[in-house]
Amino acid sequence: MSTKKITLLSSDNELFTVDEEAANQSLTIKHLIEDTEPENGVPLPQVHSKILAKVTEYLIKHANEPDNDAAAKEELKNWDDKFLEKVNHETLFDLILAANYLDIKGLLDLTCQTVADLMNGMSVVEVRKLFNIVNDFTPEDEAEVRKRRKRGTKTIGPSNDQANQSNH
Amino acid sequence: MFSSQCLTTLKLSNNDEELRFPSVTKMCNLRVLHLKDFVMFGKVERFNKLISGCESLQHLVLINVEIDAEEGLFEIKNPKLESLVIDNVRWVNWKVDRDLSKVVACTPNRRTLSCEVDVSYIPWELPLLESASLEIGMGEKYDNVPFRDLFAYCRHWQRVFAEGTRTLLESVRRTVSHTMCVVPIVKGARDRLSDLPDPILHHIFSFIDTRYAVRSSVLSSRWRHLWKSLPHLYFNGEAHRRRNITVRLVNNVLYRNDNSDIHTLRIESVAHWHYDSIRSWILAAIARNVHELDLLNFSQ
Repeated sequence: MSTKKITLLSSDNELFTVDEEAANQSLTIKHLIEDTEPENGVPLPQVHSKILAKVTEYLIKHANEPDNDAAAKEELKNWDDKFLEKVNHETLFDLILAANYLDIKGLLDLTCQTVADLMNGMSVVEVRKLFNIVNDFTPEDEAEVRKRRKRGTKTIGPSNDQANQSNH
Repeated sequence: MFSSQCLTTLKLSNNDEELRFPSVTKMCNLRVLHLKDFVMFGKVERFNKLISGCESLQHLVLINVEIDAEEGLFEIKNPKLESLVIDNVRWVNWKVDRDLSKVVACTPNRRTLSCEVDVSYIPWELPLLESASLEIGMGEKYDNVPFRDLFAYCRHWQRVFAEGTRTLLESVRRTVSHTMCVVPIVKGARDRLSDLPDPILHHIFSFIDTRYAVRSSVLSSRWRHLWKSLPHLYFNGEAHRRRNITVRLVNNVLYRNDNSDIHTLRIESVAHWHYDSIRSWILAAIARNVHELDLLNFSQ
């Protein structure tokens, strides 16, 4: 039995062909096919070929997700790690936006997890540096934000609360 | 307190409190200064004044301190300083004008040091440091820096922030140990993270402890209110000091000033807890139409 092929059309008019099963992981593509039955490829005007190439690579690999095979799951996880290993920030964020627009849960989780891992354990200054976030607060505003945040500093343990109070 | 002429010993300890650097420091007889469990912030010059204002200082101890300041160079160059203990301190921009081997000698087990330094200030003498992040300002003048020598002493470091051409970054990557991650810095690049829509940022925060989301409010005005509508809350004791999840941190997020729903509340690995707090959190989450409630691994 031959599987049905789906053609995807990137914003810069490049064509990508994948199995229907792979394409259906994207709910956006799935609905576009059901609703419009496009003849000359599914138009994806928001996704550039450079990103769509990555996305289809992911879709093809994840088309037949293993259910109970631990070894296959492990292999897929390793593949996921490798998939984003050499990706720069620019591409990573493009992939997040593409996964969001195409509604591919697995890819959105994977890319968001990657950003979360980058932020995990980093100080505010490090996060700003890593993502080029410009601190646009005036010193007064920043002090105010910190003051508000500071109110969340009491610990749960009753013993600790008392210990802290007796320290003052 | 910071201008007392009589004090010889000052030990301050506080649980996660924030301390703004004092504007005037003149403690000319102070010999021992301990600062423990603080988040310190303010202008770097003030920190430098705080330290240099203690002209007789012999022992300086900074433990569990996060020094959060934007610009300038931290300086510790007190002529009489005999010992310097830096344990679990995160800071940027630093310069210690003394033999740093003493730092190593006094630093036991856990060490976190995050420093932003000119290559010439790299603290070579910290071979035992376990984790650090280091920003190397790279440019032409660093082209001939022998990176192999540079990282030979820092094999346990975790992160290196590096700026430079692809070739330079590759040469750094080749020389660092496999446990160290080289974080490329592209100065002037677009801030793609802040450009993401709120739901995606909320999704990103669902993967890490909510304290980081709350902390993100000081990043910039874009982030100021973002945490107030988080749908997925996740508190893991392992990410908190002494596995104490702060009551008000959770309260702040659960009793926020809007009508947004909470989808998930997950709290795990808490060492010290109060029945009343947990009860009120569950009720608050239910009042916000929580869909998924996970309370795991509570121990007294």
